[in-house]
Amino acid sequence: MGLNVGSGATIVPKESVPKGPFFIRPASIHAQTVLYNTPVVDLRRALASLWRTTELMIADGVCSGLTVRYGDSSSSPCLSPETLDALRREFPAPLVIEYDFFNANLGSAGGQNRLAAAASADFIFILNPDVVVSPRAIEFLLEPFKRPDVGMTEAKQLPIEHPKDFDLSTGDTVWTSGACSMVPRALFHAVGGYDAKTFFLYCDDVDLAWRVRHAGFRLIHQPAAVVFHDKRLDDDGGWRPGAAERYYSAEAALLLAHKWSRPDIVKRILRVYDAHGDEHERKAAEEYRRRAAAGGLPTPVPGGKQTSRFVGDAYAKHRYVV
Amino acid sequence: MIVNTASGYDHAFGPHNVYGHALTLVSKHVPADVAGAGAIHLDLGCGFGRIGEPLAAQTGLTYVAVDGNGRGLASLRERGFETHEYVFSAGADTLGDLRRIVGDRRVGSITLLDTLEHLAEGDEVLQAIADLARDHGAPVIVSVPNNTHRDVGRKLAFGRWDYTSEGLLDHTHVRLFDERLIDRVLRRAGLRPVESKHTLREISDQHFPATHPAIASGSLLAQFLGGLRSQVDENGEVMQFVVASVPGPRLDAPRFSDHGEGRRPFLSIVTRTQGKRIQSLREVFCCLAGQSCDDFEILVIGHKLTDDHRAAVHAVMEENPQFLRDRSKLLLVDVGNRTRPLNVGFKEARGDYIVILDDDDFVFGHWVETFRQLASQRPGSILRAANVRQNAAMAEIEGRPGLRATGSMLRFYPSRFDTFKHLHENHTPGLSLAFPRGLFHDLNITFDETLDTAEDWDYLMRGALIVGVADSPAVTNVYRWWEKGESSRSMHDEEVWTANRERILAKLDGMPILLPPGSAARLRSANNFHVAGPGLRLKRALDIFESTSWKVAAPVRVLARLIGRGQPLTARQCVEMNDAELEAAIAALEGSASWRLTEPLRRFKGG
Repeated sequence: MGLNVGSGATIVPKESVPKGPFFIRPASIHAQTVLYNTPVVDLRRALASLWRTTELMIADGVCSGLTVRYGDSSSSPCLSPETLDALRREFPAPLVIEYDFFNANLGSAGGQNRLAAAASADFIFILNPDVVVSPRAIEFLLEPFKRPDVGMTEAKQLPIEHPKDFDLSTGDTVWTSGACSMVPRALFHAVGGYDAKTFFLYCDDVDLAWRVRHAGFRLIHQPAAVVFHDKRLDDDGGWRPGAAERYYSAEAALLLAHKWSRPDIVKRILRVYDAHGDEHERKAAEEYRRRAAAGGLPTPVPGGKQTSRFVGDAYAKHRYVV
Repeated sequence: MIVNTASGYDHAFGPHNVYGHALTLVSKHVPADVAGAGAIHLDLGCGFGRIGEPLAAQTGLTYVAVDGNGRGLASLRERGFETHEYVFSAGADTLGDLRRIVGDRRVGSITLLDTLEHLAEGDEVLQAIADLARDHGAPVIVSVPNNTHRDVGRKLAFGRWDYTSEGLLDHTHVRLFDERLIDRVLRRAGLRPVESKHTLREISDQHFPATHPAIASGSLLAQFLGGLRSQVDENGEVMQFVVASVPGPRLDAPRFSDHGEGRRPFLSIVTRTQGKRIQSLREVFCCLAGQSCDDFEILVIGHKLTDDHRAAVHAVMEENPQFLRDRSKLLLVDVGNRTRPLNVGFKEARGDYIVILDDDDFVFGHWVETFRQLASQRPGSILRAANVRQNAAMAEIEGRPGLRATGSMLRFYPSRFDTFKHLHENHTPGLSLAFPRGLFHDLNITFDETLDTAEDWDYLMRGALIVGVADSPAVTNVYRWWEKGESSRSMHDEEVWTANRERILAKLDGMPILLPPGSAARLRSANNFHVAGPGLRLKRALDIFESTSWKVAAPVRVLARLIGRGQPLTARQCVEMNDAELEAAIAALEGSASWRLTEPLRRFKGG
């Protein structure tokens, strides 16, 4: 048994985690995506590429089958039965399309956990609904799992590439983005999946990746595995997050620092939010204090300070500013 | 057929008129075995047949005249020629009638000069002529007036259409021809054009009134229109299309143009590749697979590909999802510089707009969508979206070559298009621009293949000064700036860039241009554009580079480089500098040995 550090998210002793290498050809893959008022046209675009990728991987003996499972956190279903049937007709076997209307907004972490619970494949491929994979991306993400110490892999996103640094010879990186990453199903479940109790949106992926690293695995960024993630710049050429992102990422920053045993950083962030924060950050500080007072914070990860990485406002060294 | 009572069409033979050109073609294409063997030349719609004498003398054929005009035939009979009075009419057995005229004689050649335009049933008549020509293996020479002569077209553009008793707009013409139509009419009838020898006249019979601004040679408008027209084809001064044809298969094509022209994609994406950057080509396709608007086609132009590179490009294209494969085509170009593939791609493009997206750049999800929005707002203009630049390098992980960004996305180019700034230097990367197909396909404005740098700037300006630019501040595309490796900026010396820039500027200076509304105010306060504020510094620096004394002192800088003083500063570097860097650059330029040495020259010559 591991230490519970969130809703089922565990810190497990290294001797209890499954052993790699995880990739043995052909592997089965469970792709999962949480929907929230997602337009069908976005899904069609994503499925067209996934279908072709699956076809290529099966032809090459890389993959034995790929199931896409959508979990819908919207208040009303994104996909009607007729639309779902139409998508299945348009993208038939070898691709399998599954759909689960949650009838509740489970957030990112909760939704991913619900979807992963239904998985039986060798790998869980986590991706956002507005992500289009390039034809060889999944194959390139599987390759590093031939090494026994690799626990997660991550694709390069276009057009806005994440600035997080990675080792130029090995691809080693500090965390992997939930927009598009691959994890062995056994390992995902062994570390307890996402911490949905602590994180609603944002930083749930950082936390999961750090628990995989904490369990002794490497995280690999593979720049050759390219996906298109439909992010856009504003007219000034800048990246301007929306209100929800600003609030939840501000809140998540506090929770992540607390969980990974960095009270010094929690203190600093609260000080900054209190003194200079915008309305979202002040609200996030207020919520954090409320949860702390109510005993609703997760148990800090023992030794978390060594695994985690806090660099300014980021969770890795960045190569440049977005 | 309308009888022209106002004219007898009695035109003398001349070496440079229709008769002369037709005779040249007859002489060239008449089969060698018929001359002097009693074969005849059949002149259909002969009028007064002033070609008869020289044709008989030059070819040895027996000239046989056929027309419905008795006056012309009487003249011919008086001159000793065989004549037949015959009027082409709908429903007649034209082929049978012509065979009866010919009898058992061999037809060596046939002319149908200045006649087809008078015939309402011309297609059927031409088919009969083609069948007769096929019986004898005879060439058929046809002439029709060119209704796209510049005098006709320019007056028509301003609402004027002058029928005359005869000439280009003879009031009895029932069919008006351009070169494409005569070509199509011949081919549909079963006549394959083999040579043309059109007659030319700079000043046509439609050149009136003499001071009409669209046709008077001294008029700026006429010069502007003339410059554009002369790029399209060489027919602006053609009076008569004179075409030699031989019997061939009948073309199965519609009689007339289809105004719908079929369904076109909105955008044609022309992607140049040398096959050396397979991973970045893969990224291009990935971005295109993610477009919110998929109304496009992709033309990948493989330039001088080795067998291995061609196989690699083909493999990447085959990897794509079905909807991208359906929209993609690989064209191979094995000759020319890097500009040649653009002309090949633009020529092949079916889209209403055409954009260049080279294999090392990438785009946002609303790249096509933004162009489409602009096209709906300003149809037919050049479309421009905003751009960012990002440094990049290669990164190979697990033996897989990949790319990684090494810097932030920077707003290197201005978000809005400024014609005046662009008259000086390029401020727009190619992938930010979609060109209306009409520029290339209707005005025949092609890329200048003598340029191997800045070809996109040259093309942009030649187009922008005709159709204008509709712009959007939306950032839709990324110009990748390689930290290492080959790119157009690294492949060519600064001297090449400079020489090409000067050539482009000279071209711009050599033609009248159209400027957008508001330009007069900009011109009045010339210092408000480009040279205002920080632009003053740039202008100062560029003035130095363009000065006579700087050019004269070039050997001094070569010498300085040879003795190890490093590369001299360049104009191109200055264009990319910020204010502080420009200040320093100007100080360095003015403090340089070559500038100081040539100070007397400036004092006396002002250069």
